[in-house]
Amino acid sequence: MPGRKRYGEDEEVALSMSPLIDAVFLLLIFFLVTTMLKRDLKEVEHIQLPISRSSPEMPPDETALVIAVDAEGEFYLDGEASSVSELLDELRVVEQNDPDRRIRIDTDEYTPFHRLAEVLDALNFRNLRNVGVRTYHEKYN
Amino acid sequence: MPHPLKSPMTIAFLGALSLVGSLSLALYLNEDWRTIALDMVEETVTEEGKVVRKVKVERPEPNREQIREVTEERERKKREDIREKARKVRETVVEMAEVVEERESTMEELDEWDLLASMALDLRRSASERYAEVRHSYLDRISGSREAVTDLKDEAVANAHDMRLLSLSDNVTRVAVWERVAAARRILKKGEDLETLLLEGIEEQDNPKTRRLLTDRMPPFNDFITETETYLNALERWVKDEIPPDETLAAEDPEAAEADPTEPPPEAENPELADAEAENEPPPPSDWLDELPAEEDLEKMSTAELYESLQEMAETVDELYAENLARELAEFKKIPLEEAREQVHKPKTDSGPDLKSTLEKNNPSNREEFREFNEALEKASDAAGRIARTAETRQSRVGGNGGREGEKQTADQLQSALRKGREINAEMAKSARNRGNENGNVTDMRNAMSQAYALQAKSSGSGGGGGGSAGGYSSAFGQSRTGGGGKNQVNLSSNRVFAKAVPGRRFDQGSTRRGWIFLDTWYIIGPWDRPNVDSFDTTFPPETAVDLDATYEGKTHPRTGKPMELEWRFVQSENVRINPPDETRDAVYYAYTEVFSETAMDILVAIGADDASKVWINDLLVNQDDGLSGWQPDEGFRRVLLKPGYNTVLVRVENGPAVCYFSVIMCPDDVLEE
Repeated sequence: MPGRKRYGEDEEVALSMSPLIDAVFLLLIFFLVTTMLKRDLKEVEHIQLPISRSSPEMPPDETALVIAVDAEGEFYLDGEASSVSELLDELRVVEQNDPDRRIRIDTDEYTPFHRLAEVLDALNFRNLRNVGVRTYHEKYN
Repeated sequence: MPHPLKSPMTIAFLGALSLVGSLSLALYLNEDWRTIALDMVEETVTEEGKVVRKVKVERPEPNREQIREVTEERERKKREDIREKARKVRETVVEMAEVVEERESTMEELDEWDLLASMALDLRRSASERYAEVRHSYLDRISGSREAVTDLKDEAVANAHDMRLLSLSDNVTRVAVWERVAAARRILKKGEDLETLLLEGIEEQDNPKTRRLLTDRMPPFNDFITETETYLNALERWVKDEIPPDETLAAEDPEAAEADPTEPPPEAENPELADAEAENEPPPPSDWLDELPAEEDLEKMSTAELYESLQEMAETVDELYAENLARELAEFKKIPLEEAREQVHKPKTDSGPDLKSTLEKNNPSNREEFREFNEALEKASDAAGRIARTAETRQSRVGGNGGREGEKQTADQLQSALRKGREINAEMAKSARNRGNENGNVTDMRNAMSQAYALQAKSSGSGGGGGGSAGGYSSAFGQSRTGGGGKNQVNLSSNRVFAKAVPGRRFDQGSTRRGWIFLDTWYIIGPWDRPNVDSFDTTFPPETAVDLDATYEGKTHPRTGKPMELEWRFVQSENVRINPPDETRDAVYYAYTEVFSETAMDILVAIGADDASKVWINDLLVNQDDGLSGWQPDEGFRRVLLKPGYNTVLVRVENGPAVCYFSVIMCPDDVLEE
């Protein structure tokens, strides 16, 4: 039938992107507003962790005892500066109350090695075996 | 009309739906994402003990009233905790004061002979110092000085020895007494002659610079003469008052005859003796208890007051601890208490920062104040724990009831325990000496140690860190005493030790490490100046209390001329011989470590040191080897007892010239016999 044009023959079907973008933005805003990232309170901020490419990923554990040694060789227990006696006392308490407690060691890449050896020896002497060393891995950070 | 499914809105809707769906699915399946990254789900434990997961509901910002309520609740909990610690520390103070008081009453009164013997000992020390000064300087070149100073030193040494014997003797004869007076006069004369000789010798020097340098060395010689005069006056005064010379003796001793016993002594008052007597009076122990808050007061105190009171009690514990050590020392060395107090290092408990003002205003109105208050509360609680722990350690060293409930020792029991402890210490000090013994000699310290442990266990209730009651100790040690360990001589060659000994600090039953184990991990501090004479008589802070956080002033640095700042250093060695860091000549070092033993155990300890050394195990002296000698792994063997649990080992090592080494090697007795 002349004069009659079929709808769609001369007009291409196009996908309008604006509603999609709207929806994605809405979702983004939703997650931004609701997400609450937790800060690791036991972390010592000025410690630059050594880089490792082979470390396995472990889920964070809030109950772990965190022993940190900074580049100056100073000790930190759960993020608080501490002395050698305090560290040894704490390990004594852990050994008595919860020998299987997870212990995380955070060191700086420039931490003097003898300080780390001191911590490891104290842990070994107290027979505390659930010990891990935290490192920086690009994949997980 | 396009197909409804092809409309842009539908496609967008479906896209968004699938995105949300996949995200929801991922969150549903991955718990870590849900709980950690998003922190939207929390786990709570119900009253029945069930773990329930629920979506976290954000609470609105609390108002001022709510903040106050929360802080009050938190404070209440912490306050109770601190109050409990304060109660404990208070009890510790009371018991320590009791022990110190009882020690005073069991202390043997120092008589004048003891004081004079102590002065004679000081004189001997000064004479030896003068000897060293002459022999190691240009003064040695002055003709006759060497003989004169040797003569003086020998006279002073002999005098100190005889004076000591006299002070210990129950039956003092007049002759012996007046001989001491004559000897003191001889020392004075020889001292004066030496000074004159040296001064004349200096005058003869051509070079004015040498003259000046040598003259600068003379004041100590003058001081020595003054010291001898003081001693002679004190001796004469005492002797004339108490034991007048009889005629025969006076005739034999022209100088004594010249001195008329009725004539007043040159110095009407002998200040040193009078002072010593006055100082011998200790501050009444009630002073410590006067400052102590009453138990009822503790119940009413606020957090700030409790914290402050706890800090004060920590100071009292330190004072009592030092006082107890001073009394022990005074008793052991027979010296005036005041002198002992000066010799004893006063340890200080870390009693935390001053938080009074922050703790007092528990009225936070904003987030910042809330945070500040909570931090202060945490710090106070930590400090309280630390104070209580330190007080407990201090008390375990002092003795007493040790928090045993119900059953309190009576004053008589305490006194007899203290006497017994003193006897054990004296016995151990006697058998710990290694000088003059052959290499490889074995001394059995088990008997004295088992008694000491039983005494400790009795006084501290259930028996310290390792567990086990007094009966447990004695039975375990009783068996060990009877069985095994018959050898009196052990031959240990250096090569065999180097080849066989393995590093370690733990003695576990199931361990594959058997045989000789050398202690490889230490905390070492030093150097301090090593005294030229009777160096073991000078004690340094670690002998009072081992505080790994403490810093002290040590030996003068040869280049800067200032005292070195000392701190404990971690040393781990793969070698049997441990070499202290900052090794230097004429120095004293201390090394501290702990050894774990699964059960009460008999151990043979081989101690070697270059040069002199002293070793304490669980604060009991087990080895004392003075004199300069090279390192041998088998200089002296000690059969000792280890308590179940952790045992402390403290080594004092002294270096004369050249190198400094020490080694402590242990081997369970049963392994040795296999």
